[in-house]
Parts: sequence; structure tokens; C-alpha cells
Amino acid sequence: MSHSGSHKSFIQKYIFSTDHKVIALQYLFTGILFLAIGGSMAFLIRWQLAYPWQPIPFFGDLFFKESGGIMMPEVYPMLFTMHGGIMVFFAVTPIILGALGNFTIPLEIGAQDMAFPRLNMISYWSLFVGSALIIASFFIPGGAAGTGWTIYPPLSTSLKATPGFGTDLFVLGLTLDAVSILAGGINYIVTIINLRAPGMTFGRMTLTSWGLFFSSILNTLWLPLAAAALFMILFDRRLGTAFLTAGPLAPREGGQVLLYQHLFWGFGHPEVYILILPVWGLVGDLLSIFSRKPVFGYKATVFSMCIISALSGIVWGHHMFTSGMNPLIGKAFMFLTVSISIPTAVFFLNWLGTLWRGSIRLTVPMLCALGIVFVFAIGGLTGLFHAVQTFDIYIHDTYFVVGHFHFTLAASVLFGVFAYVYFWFPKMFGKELNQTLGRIHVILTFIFVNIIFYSMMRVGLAGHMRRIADATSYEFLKPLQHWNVFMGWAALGLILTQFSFFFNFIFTLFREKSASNNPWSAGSLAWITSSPPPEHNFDKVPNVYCGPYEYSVPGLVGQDFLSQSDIRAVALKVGSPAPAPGKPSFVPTSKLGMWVFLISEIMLFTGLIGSYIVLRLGSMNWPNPSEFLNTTLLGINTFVLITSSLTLALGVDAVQKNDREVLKKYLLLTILLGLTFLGIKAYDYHHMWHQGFTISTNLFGSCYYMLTGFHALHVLSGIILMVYLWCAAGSSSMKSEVLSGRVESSGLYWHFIDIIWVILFAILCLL
Amino acid sequence: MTWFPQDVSESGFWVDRLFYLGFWLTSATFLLVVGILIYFVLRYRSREGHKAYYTHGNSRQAFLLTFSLALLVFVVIDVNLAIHDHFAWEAIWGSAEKDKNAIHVEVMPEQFAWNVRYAGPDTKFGTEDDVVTINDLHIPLNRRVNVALKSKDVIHSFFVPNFRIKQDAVPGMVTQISLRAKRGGKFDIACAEHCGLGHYRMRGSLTVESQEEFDSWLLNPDGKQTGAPNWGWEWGIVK
Repeated sequence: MSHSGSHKSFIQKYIFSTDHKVIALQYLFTGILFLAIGGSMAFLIRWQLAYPWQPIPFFGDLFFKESGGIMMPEVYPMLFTMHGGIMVFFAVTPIILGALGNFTIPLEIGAQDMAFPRLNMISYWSLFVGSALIIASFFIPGGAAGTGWTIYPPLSTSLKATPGFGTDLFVLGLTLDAVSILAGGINYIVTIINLRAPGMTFGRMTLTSWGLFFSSILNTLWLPLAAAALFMILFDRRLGTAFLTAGPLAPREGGQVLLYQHLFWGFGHPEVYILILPVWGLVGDLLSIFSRKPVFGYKATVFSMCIISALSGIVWGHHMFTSGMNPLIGKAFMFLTVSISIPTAVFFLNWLGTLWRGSIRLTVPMLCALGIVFVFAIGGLTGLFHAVQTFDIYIHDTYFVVGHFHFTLAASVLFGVFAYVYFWFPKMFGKELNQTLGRIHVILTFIFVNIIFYSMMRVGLAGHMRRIADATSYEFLKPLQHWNVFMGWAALGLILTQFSFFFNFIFTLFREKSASNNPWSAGSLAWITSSPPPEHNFDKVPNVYCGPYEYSVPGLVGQDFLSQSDIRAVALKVGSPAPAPGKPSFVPTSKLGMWVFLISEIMLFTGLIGSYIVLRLGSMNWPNPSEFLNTTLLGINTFVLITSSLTLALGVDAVQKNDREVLKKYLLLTILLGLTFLGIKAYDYHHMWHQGFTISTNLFGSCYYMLTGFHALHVLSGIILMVYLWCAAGSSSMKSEVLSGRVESSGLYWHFIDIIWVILFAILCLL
Repeated sequence: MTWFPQDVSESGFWVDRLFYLGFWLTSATFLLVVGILIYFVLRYRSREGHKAYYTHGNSRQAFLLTFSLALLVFVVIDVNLAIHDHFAWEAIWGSAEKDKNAIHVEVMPEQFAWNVRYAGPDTKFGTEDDVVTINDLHIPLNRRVNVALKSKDVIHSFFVPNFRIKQDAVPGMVTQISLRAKRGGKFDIACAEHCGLGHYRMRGSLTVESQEEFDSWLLNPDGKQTGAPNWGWEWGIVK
């Protein structure tokens, strides 16, 4: 790879860049664009609720010209659906994970780039295509999705209830976004594990890096479940299946409606922590930097992050107390949910501990951090009400929930976004944002979000349902209308306030370079390099001697903090000498990447196979598989695939002995066996289809074709991988250790596909 | 001054009570946290010649202190609420099955209306004397009414704010909710789960009246269908 940036064309440098810093900016700009779109939608929603079916100023003339500036009833569901979907997946996720993660992880741990720079580029472009689909969905006949961002079936799966392609585009856009997040997560996890600078132990990472690390792990584990659910929605809509559709809308014997909710919230609840953990980490960092004090209780904080991550995966049921789920299970979910308050309380106490006896500077990022502590205190404490089953049933799907999750997800994460931008702007662009304008922006935003989200909870307590376009027809809501008017105007204020941010941002971008390398006197590694950093971040990979929070170290002269690469840390007894560089990693980078990928694959198949089991157990008249399937043929196919695992294992053996000819022979054999498998599969599909056993015959047929179809796609991509390796093995420019690493990782993937097939064969044909 | 709509149910006060308990406990915690935060920010503002105190707070004492405080919060707020929730649950949801004198009503929501079905004088559903209304649910005072819900199309949620309860109506499932009113009047039934374009106007009416008024309303054919075909599901399959 060429290391001199000056030879690259504009397109290489700024469009199809593999530099994590450029990719971070791509994520940032995309996220800010969608923040503006989603924010405008929020204003339209609030204005419609304030003055139902009346002309909307400015936006009305822009978007609803034919109806005289009045919003039509079919527009309102699109607005709240796309507001939610866009804000969560296309505004906040790209900024917090995409931009903050990409920009800070390599800089903070002392790496020259991500572990897989090209994969990183693909991550962004996957999001880009996804966002293009989202934007496009507004302009197609029938308009964008109107199902609510939760996309509950059967509203989302039945073409009778949601005709048109809006829902399909939304689901496809989300799927591409999921690919982007998962690929990004692989990069973050592997980079953090394998590319830390010498001396950068896990215990010396910033809390932001820790937050991003846990958040990526949560994504790897739980996002595939949502992907499985989204696939089933698309199948139900377009292929005539009924996995998630039941009742009169189902074409035949229906599947299970609640299955979707379990899968969705199995991801959806961790999603809250996916977004908030990096923000909490950032808050910890900022409170320490601007109190000129080490983070209080670093170990307890990281430990709490770990506990929260673990708990977040087992509490989803509190979203479903009114769904008809067994109340005893509900009780278990209640207890698990409220126990999250223990690690959360540890967080708050450690934040207060960090401020205690500090030397506090109220810079703009610090104001954001303090704001987050405030709004998350409200968000977290009001969360308790939702865990309490009996009370939650009353406020479920009311504005009390909306207010609560806007305090946690909107207010907290939004201030996280602002904290990130104000704090990292000098490092990203080498320029400093105007602090006065920043203060005005943050304080006004703080006031408006608190007013709006408090009012939401207030009307929610009175029973105001969410997702209704007009509250005025309900007797019990009539006395509350003045709150809706109030929120409409506050939303206008919030929108107008954001112009100070955009103005500051854009105006500063076009100013002369002004920022020093370390304008905040921060200790972490990012601040020892230039602003903005050179293409590979550090001219020489730094040695790390101490943690990132050595502020106000006693005995230090000249400045009040130690940079992590400051060797004085050793003499002052707050650090230790760095080990010699070049220590081989425990698991090689390409293999580790494959393992993380396989974990997400396992979770995807867990979602799909788990759904099959649930549907089968819940069905009254499940057919005997042997009525439809040719078990002998599938048995032969199993044998073919297992043999191919063997030939590939022999290939791996050959590449380790550096014998390329033998490797090519075995690769070819594996490819042929894989093709044989697909050929038999195609014959089998063709035969059964003509005998009348199709994907829409019954639930068993749907499950059979979906599971084996996904598996066949995996086999196909495995074959493509083998063909690539076969070509690479013939190329003399391919280094043998690189080739060996790739063959070994591909071997892992191929064996995984085989194991999945054996499981599928067993549960579909034999049981 | 209350933040809730009027409570006309027998045990809905439990919900309000749970809220106020949680409200005072969390408000106290919130004020404490924010109070300390503001105090620290004011007290420890950076000043000339003042240096921050160097500590990592990683000592065993600091660790024990934070975790025991966190545990205290858990016991005082969370466990406290959970115990109250247990009694509230028993009062609101636990007694539905036991009441032998209960009236049974079937509610089948569809986009965007509430179909209501009474068994009629023979107390059997699916017979000639069944009474079917749209968006008009009447119940007698001081008597338990068990409602079975099943959706005709998408998910709807039967929400009666004045009773502090709601229950989703899920296609493919029969769910149940139980009402017992202690005050008369006319109230709203709202759909709480987004069900499509007309979700916002899927409004039903719930009338609570004396047993005599209820009986005569049920026999009065105005605005009602009788002998409508069976809805294809019955109380029998309710778990």
C-alpha cells in the first residue's frame, strides 16, 4: 500500500478512502445530514400535534403544497416512523459508532489505522447505499414506511395493511445499515485487541474506547437477531410466507406475531446501551480532563460497563408486558431490568467522584458532559417505572415512554454527539469552534430538550398515546392540548437553536488553521500527534508508559498532566516502562476478524433456527418432514459437504508447509465439492417445487426454503472465497504468510458452513 | 391536583400509588445527584493556585463504598417498587379468574373500530341471541367484566386510561383483560398500538351504568346486531 497521501487523487483520498479519519468524517457528515432531516420531521410531528390539521408554516408550503400546507393523515405515520428509524440508525449510530469510533479508536490506542481498512471503507459505503434507499423511499408512490420504527408485524408484513414499497425499502436500508455496523464492529474489536501500541494495556485505554469496545461486542451479538427478523418480514411481504403473520391476514396457517417482538427487542434493548456506552465513556473522559483529575474508580466503571452489557441482553421482555406474554416471565424480566440500576448507580457515583475536589473548567464539551449526567439521571430514573410491570402496563405506548427514551436516547446521546464534535473538532480539522456560540447552543439546547421531554412524560402520565396524529378527539386528552401547543413551540425553539451549531461548524471549517496539537491539555495518545493527524496518525508508533488520566500528578513541573507517552511517568511512579514492540498477538489479525464475523453469523443462524423451533413448537399441525423431503439426497449432500471440509483442511495443511501446488489442488477439489453440493441442492429444489412443495405451501416449507436458502448463499460466498484464494495462490506477489492467514480464516468459515448444514439437516430432515 | 385521568376502577389506585411511590423515591435520588453535581461544579471551579486532588479512586474502600451505595439504591427503590408491584398485580390482574359472578365480553378490534360481543341471555357465545355492537362497550357498576381480545387484522391495544390498564389484541392469540368499575359515566377506549392510518381515530366508548340500566340497554335492539355469525374463536380456548 502506498504511504504517501500526496499521490492520491481526490476520489481516492476523500471518497473511496481507507483512512479511518476520512471515513470518520464521511460518517459524521452523513449523520449530521440525517440529524437535520430527522429533526425537521420531529418539528412537523410536534406542530401537527399542537395544531392538528392546520397549515404548517414554512414546511407546509414546501412539502404539502397540494393540500394547502396541511398534513394528510397518511403522512403522519411516515413521519414518526422515519423520524425514529433515521434518528436511531442513520443519525446517531453513524455519528457515535461510525464517526466517534472510527476517529478515536486508532488514535487513542496508538494504531496507524484500523485492522481492516478496506472493510472499513465498505462499512461506510454500505451505510451510504442504505441511506440512499431511505431517502428514495420518500419519493416512491405510496411514500415511505408508516409502520412505526419498530416495524411490528402483521402491520408490516401484510401488503393489505401496508401496500407499496416504502416498508421494503426501509427494511432493506436497515439491513444495509446493519451490515455497515457489523463490519465496523469487527474492525473496532480486532483493532482494539490486536493493534494497541506497546505499553497500551487494556487498563490504560480511555473509557471512550472501552465504551466503543463493549458497544461493538453488543452489536456483534444482538444485531444479527434483528437482521433475522427483518429478513422474515421481507419474506412475509414478498414471498408469500407467514413466519410473523397470523390471524385473518395470514395467507394460510400463520406463524407467530410475538416472535418478531422477541427478536426485535432482543436487539432493540441492547441498542440503547450500544449507543449510550460510548457516550458514557466520553463523559467519563471529559469529566476527568476538565476537572484536571484522574477518572474516579476506573476499574469499577469498566466493570460496570461489562455488567451492563451482559444484563442488556436479557431484559428485552420489559418492552412486551402488554403483549400477552406470560406474566410470570414478565416478573423475571422486571427483576433483571431493575438490577441494571446497580451498575448505573456506580457510574453516577464515579462521575461525582471525578468532579470531587477537582479543578473544574466549564468548556463547551464539559457543559455537554454535565448535561448528559443531568439528562441521563432523568432518563435512567424514569426507566425504573417501565420495569415495574403493573405500572408499565398503564404507561406502555404512551408519551411517558416517549419522554423517557428521548431523555436516554435523544437527549443523552445527542449531547454525546455535540460533546464529540466540540471536543474532537480541533483534532479532526485542526481548527477550533467558537466557544461562545458553542455555549449558547449547548445551554439553549439543554433547556429546550428538557422542556419538551419533560412535557412528554407529563402528558404520558395522563394517558396520551404515542403515534396518534390528533389528540383532540379524546375526552381524557382534551385538558392536555395546551401541553401539545407548548411542545410545538419549544420544538420550534430547539430547531432554530441548531442553526447556531451548523453556522459555527461550517463557518469554522472555512477559517484558517488555528488549533494546537493539544488544545485541551488532554493526556491520551490522540493529543500527542498533530492536528489534524498525518495519514498514518503517528510518525512513529508511540510507547505508552501510563494511563490516560494522569492529571495534577504530584511532583510534576511545567504542566499539570502527563501524556501517555511521557516517559516521566516512570520516574514519578505512575507508570511503567513500555515493553519492546513487535510482540506477536495472541490470535492473528485476519483470524480474529473471522472469529468475530463468525460469532455474528452464529447469532444470525441462532435467530433463524430459533425461529424455526419456536414456529414448529407452536404449530398445531406440523407435517412429517419425510412427506416432502428427499432425505437420501440430502444425506448424500451432507456427505459431500463434510468431505469438502476434509479437503480444505488438507489445503490448510499444505499452505502451512508453503506448498502452493498442493494447496491449489485441494482448493480446486473443495470448490468442486461445493459446486456439487449446490448442484444437488438446485436439483432438489427444482424437484420439490414441481411436486408442489414450495416456500408458501406451509410453515414447514417456508422454514425449509429460508434456512437452506440462506445456507446455500453462504456456500456460494464460500466458493467465491475459494476461487479468490486459488487465484491468489497462483500469484507470485502474494506473500506466503498473508496467504496462509487468509486460507486459514477461510477454512474457519467453510467449516462453520458445514457445521450449520449438519445442524440444519438434523433439525429439518431427521427430527 | 392529579397527573392522572379520573380513576373509576376498583383497583386502579394501585397504579397511581406505585407511581407516587416511585416518583418520590426517584425524585429524592435525582435531587441528591444533581444537588451534589451543582455543588461540586461551584465549589471546585478552577481558580488561580488551586490544584486538583490526585486520586484514582481505585482503592478497596472507594470500590466498596460505591457498590454498597448502589446496592442501597437498588434495595430502597427497586426492591421496594417490586414488592408494591406484586400487590398491585394481584389486585388488578390476579382476581379476574376467581370471580364467579363475572360477565364475559368478547372484543375483536379491526382497523379502525372495536367490535364488541355479548353472549346474551343464554350466556353462551356463538348463539342466536348474541349481541354485537361497534365502538360501544357497556358494563355494569361494581361487577367484574372479563374481556377476551382477539384482533381481526393487525395488533391493536385495548386501552382504558380511566381504569389504568391496557392489553394488546394480537392476531393468532386470545388475550384477556378484566374491568371492575366503582363509578359510573362515559369514558374513552383508545387504541394504544399503532395500527395504521386511522390509528389516531380508533376511539371507542365505554359506558359504566347500574346493573338495571345495563340489562335494559342490552335488550334494547337500537344500534345493535343480533345473531351475527360466530367470530371463530371462543372463551374455551383461553388459557
